[in-house]
Amino acid sequence: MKTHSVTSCIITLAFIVSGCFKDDDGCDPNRYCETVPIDSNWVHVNLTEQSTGVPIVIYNGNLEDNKVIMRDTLYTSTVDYFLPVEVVYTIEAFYRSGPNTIIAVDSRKLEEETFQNCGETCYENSEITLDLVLID
Amino acid sequence: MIRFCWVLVFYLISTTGISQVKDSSSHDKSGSYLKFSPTLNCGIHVNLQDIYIDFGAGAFERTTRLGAQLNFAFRPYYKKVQLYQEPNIIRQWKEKKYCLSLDIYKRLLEFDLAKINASFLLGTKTGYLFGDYRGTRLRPKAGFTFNPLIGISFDLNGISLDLAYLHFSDRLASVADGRLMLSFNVLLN
Repeated sequence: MKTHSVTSCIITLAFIVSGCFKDDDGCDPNRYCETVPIDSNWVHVNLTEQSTGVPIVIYNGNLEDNKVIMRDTLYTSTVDYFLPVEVVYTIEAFYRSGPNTIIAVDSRKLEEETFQNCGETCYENSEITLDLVLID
Repeated sequence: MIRFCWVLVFYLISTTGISQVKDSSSHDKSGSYLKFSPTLNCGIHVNLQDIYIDFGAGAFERTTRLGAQLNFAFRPYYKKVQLYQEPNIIRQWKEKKYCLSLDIYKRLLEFDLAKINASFLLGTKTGYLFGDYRGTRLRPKAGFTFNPLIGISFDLNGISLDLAYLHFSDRLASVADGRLMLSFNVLLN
């Protein structure tokens, strides 16, 4: 019985670990393949709407790198930017809350994702969402 | 609370020592008194605001029913946290946390519960808590943490299911320290 427990644990672990490896060797002629590299993609920004507007700053890399890409003031809870891929985007949103200023930060890399199909490199659409919504 | 837990730990250690002396006198000379079994464990500790996934390996001594394991726990997502940076400026970060800990536990007083062999569980999760934020090189304050736990352990044919209350302080005012710990512990021999 104990051997069964250990075996089942090992099998479960094997299943979990197997999910970490991609199978890029397959060939499916019916699978859609975008062979033209995608050089830019959508960055969706979610935030808490404020009637006075929410100033944001978009950075390339971490805040400490201080590479400002753009500044904007948003009056809606969602906005989308079409930006180059393979860049880490960090956004600061400045909210007024009584006497306090709350600075929300989120960051992610907009990656160019690819997979192999029938010997061809296919480019995938991989948009990102940065969540700057305030905690309730 | 922490003082009480230390007293409890020292009590456990001292009682374990006494039981070893008593039992070893009646034990045959050829055999080894301590029966260590390697263990693997995985589980979660959770409350309404947070969740950590926890896994590790260690050893369980069957005579004294005392176990120790090296564990790694982590929050599997980035959690929004708000911290005062200056008197009127609050930063909202997305935070991930990790805890590398040495867990020491003892199973006490066996009893049957719904025809399942169970025992009380008492232990501590002592380790180093650290983490990171998205979009910055700043990091949450890291440091050592001492987290007592108390609960019930069910013996399910070689796999122990531990259900315990864990007092785990991850240094966030917005997250309660009390957590439910659910852990599967496999004895490997």
